[in-house]
Amino acid sequence: MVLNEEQRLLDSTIRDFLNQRAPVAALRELRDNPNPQGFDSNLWNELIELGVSSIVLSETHGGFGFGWMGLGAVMEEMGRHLTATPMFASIVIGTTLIEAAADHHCTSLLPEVVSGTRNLAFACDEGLRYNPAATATTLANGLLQGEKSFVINGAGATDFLVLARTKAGSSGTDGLSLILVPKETAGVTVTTLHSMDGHSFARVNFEQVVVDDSQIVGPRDSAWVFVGPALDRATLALSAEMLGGARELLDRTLAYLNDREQFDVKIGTFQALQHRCSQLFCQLELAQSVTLKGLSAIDNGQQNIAKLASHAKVLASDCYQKMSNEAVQMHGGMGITDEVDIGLFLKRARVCNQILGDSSFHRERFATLCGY
Amino acid sequence: MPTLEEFKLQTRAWLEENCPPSQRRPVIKEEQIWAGRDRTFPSPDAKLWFERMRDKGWTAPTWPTEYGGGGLSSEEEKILEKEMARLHCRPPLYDLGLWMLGPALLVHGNEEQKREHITKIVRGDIRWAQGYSEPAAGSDLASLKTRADDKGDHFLVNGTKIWTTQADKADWIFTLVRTDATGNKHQGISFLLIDMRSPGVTTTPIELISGESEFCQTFFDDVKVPKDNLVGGLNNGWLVAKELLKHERKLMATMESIVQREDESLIELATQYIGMDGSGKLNDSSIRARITEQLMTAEALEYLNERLFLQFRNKQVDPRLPLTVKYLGTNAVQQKDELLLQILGNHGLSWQEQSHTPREHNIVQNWAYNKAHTIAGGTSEIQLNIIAKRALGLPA
Repeated sequence: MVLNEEQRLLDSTIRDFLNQRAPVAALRELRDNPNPQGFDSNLWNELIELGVSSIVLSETHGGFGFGWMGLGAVMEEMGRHLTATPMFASIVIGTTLIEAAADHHCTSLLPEVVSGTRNLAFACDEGLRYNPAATATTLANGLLQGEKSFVINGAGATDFLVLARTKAGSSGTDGLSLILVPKETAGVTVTTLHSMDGHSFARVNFEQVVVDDSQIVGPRDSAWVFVGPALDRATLALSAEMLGGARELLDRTLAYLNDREQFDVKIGTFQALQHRCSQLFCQLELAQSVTLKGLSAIDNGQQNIAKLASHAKVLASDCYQKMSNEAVQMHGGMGITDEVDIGLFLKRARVCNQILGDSSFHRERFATLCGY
Repeated sequence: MPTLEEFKLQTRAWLEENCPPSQRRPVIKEEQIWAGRDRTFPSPDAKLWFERMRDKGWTAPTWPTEYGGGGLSSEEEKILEKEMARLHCRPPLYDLGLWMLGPALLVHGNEEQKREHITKIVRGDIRWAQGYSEPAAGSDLASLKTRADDKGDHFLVNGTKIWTTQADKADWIFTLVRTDATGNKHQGISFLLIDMRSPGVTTTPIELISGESEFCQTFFDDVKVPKDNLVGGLNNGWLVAKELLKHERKLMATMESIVQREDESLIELATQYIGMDGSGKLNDSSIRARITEQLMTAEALEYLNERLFLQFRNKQVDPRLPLTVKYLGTNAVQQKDELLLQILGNHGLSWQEQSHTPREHNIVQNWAYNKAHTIAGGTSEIQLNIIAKRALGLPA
């Protein structure tokens, strides 16, 4: 739950890089002048050169041994800077899924994803919200059919990892498979949508897409065995990103309270504001402790981290939501202008809440896992 | 020196061998082992358990062996705590001297005071009370007015202290007294140890909303106190008090870890009183949601404490982090108490012992008693002030 020396060095390297190369202004630029792939590919290539794409890989696949605590530190910095890259979709989810599947894709696909020549997007959500147990996309007789409604990095991806029902008559998370589908395949239609946070995502239609067995990633009909744990890991990394955003908001708000004057004093002297800031700090550190517990549990080889992942996501979601609302309120009129960056964090908080299950989904899952 | 792994195995074996089975169940108030001149033990097993732990110095595991302590490192202490928790061993000794005065005395006391008082605290021979707050000095503690006048060979103490926890049962009391009324109110305060058998000391219990009288008011009328009982030097009491307050807040927070050990029982209790539907969910979805909130807070607090410990061990302490513990921990207890009360339904309303099971009675009393947690040892509001200034750098 504490970074080692290498991880601290990684953290400061990424922080310095993002401070200089991609402050929040970079997201503004992307939002105001969107490009087809939904991210700045120069920035992404520079980050890859810094090694971020192999942080989570095991050392047998060319990873550096920074572990998930190291990744958490990087995600936190990205959360602080609102960095928009394929990091989460292609690397955190994508390579983790491929590595967990432990099949021929580890050699045929993984190196290209790590080098950035291929770019993955996990196609899971259907309908209004994340609910893999209700997956209705099917693969039958070699044909993939269905619609995925919220595919992060869907615009920039070269390949989709599609969660589909392959076993007829199955229900829940049984009978699912993970299928690698190149974007250019006939029958794949990608509709790019811009989300409120300046990022983009896609709605992807699979209309009678021809799929052969070699495209199935990991075991057929029982993908959830490895997809579930991989997504738990990704959820913890996302929580780290969210808490990075929340921490940045707290820092910015404190700076504002130390600067802004009303009634001839700094507004930071008002106890009504001080107490709320203190409570936000407590909430943040509590949430951070759960995320760190989860990330270090992965590094310590703990296999089942489902409960920790749900726990972390709920606290991170609640914290980011509350922090962003309070940051707007304490910035007063400026908080609701687009001139200051607070609104960008406010919106990112809402998007992050939806990714891989919102706080309601994870509360329910936590309760079920605890058996009550 | 054994390695930590060896220490763990030795400790485990020793506890298995020496902790009587009756001392491995959650402790209720009546079975706590309190220090004192005329202490009595709730049972022969309790006496045995206390004596065995005392003889190893494990009533105060990290204190120096020369004063009877266990001499353990903080890592070893953590292991001992874990192993005790594993067997559900009860704490072998309860005393404010053990929790609060001792640690401060080890820092600020002189050699004679350590020899005299630390050894007795470890052995549970003296029961201590705390004399800090006064009727007109609560959160603004430094405005205290109880006077200790210099009479040459002794101090003459006059005034009153309130919220003196179980002072009616205590042998000695550590106090903050005014030794200089001029100048800054934080200066002019001294830390004085007073034998409660001294003529002029009287104590009255205060009846609380829990129906108990845990807190008292203690009066000092022309009490003569030897000058040897001054700790940390004249007018230096605020420094000692701050050291001690640190331990009180730590204590308040760790007392809440007892709550966490009962987390399973929260689910168990809800299952018993509310019941489950066919799919294994509690019948009341609102209470189910509140249990989730409570468990998430309580477990997160455990991780926060673990993180603090690891930061300490790796010498990477973030000094802002410990400031959150008292505020969060005490809130969590009260949140849990409210939930437990709701789970009990109308069994949580009755005020007569005979209409309750002992467990129900305990829950109801704790609910009322634990309202003290967010007030004692620095109110939640004071905690938030401290965080705002020291952790967040907001202006005064």
